[in-house]
Amino acid sequence: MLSAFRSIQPRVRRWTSTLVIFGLALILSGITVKTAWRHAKFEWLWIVITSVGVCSFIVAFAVNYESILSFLLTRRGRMGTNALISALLMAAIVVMVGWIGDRHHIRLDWTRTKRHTLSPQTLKILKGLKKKITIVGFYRRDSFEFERIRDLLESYEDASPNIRAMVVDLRDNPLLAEKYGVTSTSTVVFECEGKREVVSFGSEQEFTSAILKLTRERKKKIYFVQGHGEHSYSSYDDEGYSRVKDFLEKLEYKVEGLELMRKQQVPKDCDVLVIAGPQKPFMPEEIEALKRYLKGGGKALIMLDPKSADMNEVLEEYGVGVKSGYVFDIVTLARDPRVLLITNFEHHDITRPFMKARANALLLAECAALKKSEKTPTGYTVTELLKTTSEAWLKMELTENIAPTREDERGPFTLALAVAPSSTADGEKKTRLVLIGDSDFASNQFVPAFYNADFFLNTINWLAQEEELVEIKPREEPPDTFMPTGRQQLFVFLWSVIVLPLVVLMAGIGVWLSRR
Amino acid sequence: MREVFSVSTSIVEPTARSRMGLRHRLKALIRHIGSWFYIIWLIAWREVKAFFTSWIAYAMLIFFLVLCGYIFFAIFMVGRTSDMRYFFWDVAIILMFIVPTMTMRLFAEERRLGTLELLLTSPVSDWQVVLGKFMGSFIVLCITLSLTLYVPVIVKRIANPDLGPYWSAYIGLLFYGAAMLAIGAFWSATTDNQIIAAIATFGTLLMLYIISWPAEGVGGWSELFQRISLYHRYKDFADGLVDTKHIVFYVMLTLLALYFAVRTIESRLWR
Repeated sequence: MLSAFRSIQPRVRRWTSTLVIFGLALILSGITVKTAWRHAKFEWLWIVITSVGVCSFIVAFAVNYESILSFLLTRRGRMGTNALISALLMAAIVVMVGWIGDRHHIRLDWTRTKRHTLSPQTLKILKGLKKKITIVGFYRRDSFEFERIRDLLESYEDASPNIRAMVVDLRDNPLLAEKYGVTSTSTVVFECEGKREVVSFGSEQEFTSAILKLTRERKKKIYFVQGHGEHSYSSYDDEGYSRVKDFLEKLEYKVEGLELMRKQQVPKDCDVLVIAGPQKPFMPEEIEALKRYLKGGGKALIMLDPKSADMNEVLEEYGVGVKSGYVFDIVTLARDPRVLLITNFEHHDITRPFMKARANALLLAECAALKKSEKTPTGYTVTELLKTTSEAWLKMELTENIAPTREDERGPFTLALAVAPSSTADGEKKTRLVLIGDSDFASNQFVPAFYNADFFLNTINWLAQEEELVEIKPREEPPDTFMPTGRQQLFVFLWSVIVLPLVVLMAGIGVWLSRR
Repeated sequence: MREVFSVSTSIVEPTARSRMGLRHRLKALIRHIGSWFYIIWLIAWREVKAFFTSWIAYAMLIFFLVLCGYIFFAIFMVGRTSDMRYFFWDVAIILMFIVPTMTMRLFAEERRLGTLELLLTSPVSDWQVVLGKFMGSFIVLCITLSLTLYVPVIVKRIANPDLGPYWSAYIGLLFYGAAMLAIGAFWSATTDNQIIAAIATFGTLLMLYIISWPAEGVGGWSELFQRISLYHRYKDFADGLVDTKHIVFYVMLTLLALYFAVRTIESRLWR
């Protein structure tokens, strides 16, 4: 056997270079066939081609083994092998460290609006999560969205141990897509205890909303009282509340209108009752129905303007009420003195997020001052939420001249109050009531201003006892745009395109001259 | 008094003596490390001076500044936005063109002139030579980038920018630039021809830039390609995200390229 090999060795050795080139070409074409030309019938083809290539390599080495060995024993051979092996080792170490670094990393978000970080609201919801949720995103691997969604879902995963998330390509995972019933790409499926929720627009708000939908036991209901000239929850006018309704529905509340006159009572499934600036007075039967509702542990948000219907009969049981007259303050926005900019927040669960936020302000229009009776009813605590400055004044009538006079009552006035059962009270009473001296701030016209929407939603969330939702959304700053003057344009052009390069040119000439 | 003290320590307390010796050795070690880095610094500074006496430096700087300035003007004044994400993306592309000019002469020039042998036979290690030259080109990169610092200043004066992403973009540019310089240093170490070094560097950088493009159709490889794409990772920095995984990638790539450069320099001993 060995002697046969010895006899043909010199003859084969002449073909060494041919064998090496032939083997290399075969191995490469084998890999090409494997990756590019997939045919079910010829699955074995690439294996054959590649192994023939490897064989010709082995033959080339075998017939030359003496000279290869003797080369490896020379100084060059030894040093070269040493360098090659250590380079490969180094590369392996670098790849490993890089891989570990890829798995365990820290992301710092340096943007002002914290664009790449989850909002406090989402974090709170995720922290309170008790059920296991699986999230599978189907995105094209080569799309821009793929990584964005993966990073976003990764931060969901980091925030709660109950979430498992992955993003896959629909084309690579047809079985998984079939399991989740997904047929189109750019879809995210949320699954929790057999229930599924499909989101086709990849944003944090949609994802958090889907998680809320899956984990909520039942949808909480909010009734807006209608029939007394209140703001309509479905109207798209400036006066309407349609924007607020949209926000509430995103947070998984069910919003409905309530004609108290016809029903004579507040429905049993009402979680929060909203009375938004009634203009016509309530009937005695309606007042009775409201009283019954509140006494039975109801939750209500009552917003009253200076001209609104008198509801003091309902309110006085809880030690609060409305003063007549219009509130004016020195801090106003725009030219209209009736529009107040409120920055004084008092400590309460509703206002806590505002006190944490750096910039906080509400815009209220035509406010009524609220009063708090000396004696708080037993079992309840009354907390002031918003106040004017001490410079504010109260006018009985809205006339041309609104400047403060001596007779006018001076501030600070309370503009919002919250009534809650005190912690010492027994568990029976669960009444919660928020009274606000303005109903326009939540209308379509004013709700986008400052933190108005957050204040309204926080109030509803607090009343509905959804404490984890009481937060403020990070404000989405619009892109910073501006109108540069002609002079500024000229300056920027001259400085950046001409002056600075010229300075560098002069420096170059200076160096050249000094070296001559 | 002092004599008495020294006598007492040397005779009475042998343990104190050995502690002195340890402190001595520690001091010597620190001095040794200090001088090791001092030599790197000397080599680096010599590189910087040499670079700024050549015309290439000024041609490169003017080319860089005019392009950056024009892009800045277009985005800031015509686009009317203070979001400089696209500006910093473009700066990274321009850097790809000028990095080869910073690194091509590092070893190739000295090898051609025959002064590399002189440097290598002097009592400095190969690592010191490579690190010193790399540091020199890194200082040049820092000087070049610092010339664009007028951008945040002007934007801050005229508009109301969110400066966080600006600083993260600069941090990204430093790490991204360091990786590119290390690749350039490696190619310069392989040849005695500056032009070949520059072309090879540019080709490698271009390849590492476009490697994330043909993601479609390649299947499972696309993710790997995106991971090793230099530019793809840099984009996050310009977005205001400082991610340690990208920093680890750049540092590892820099180390690997410098290691290969050292091995290449060393190979003169056996080739």
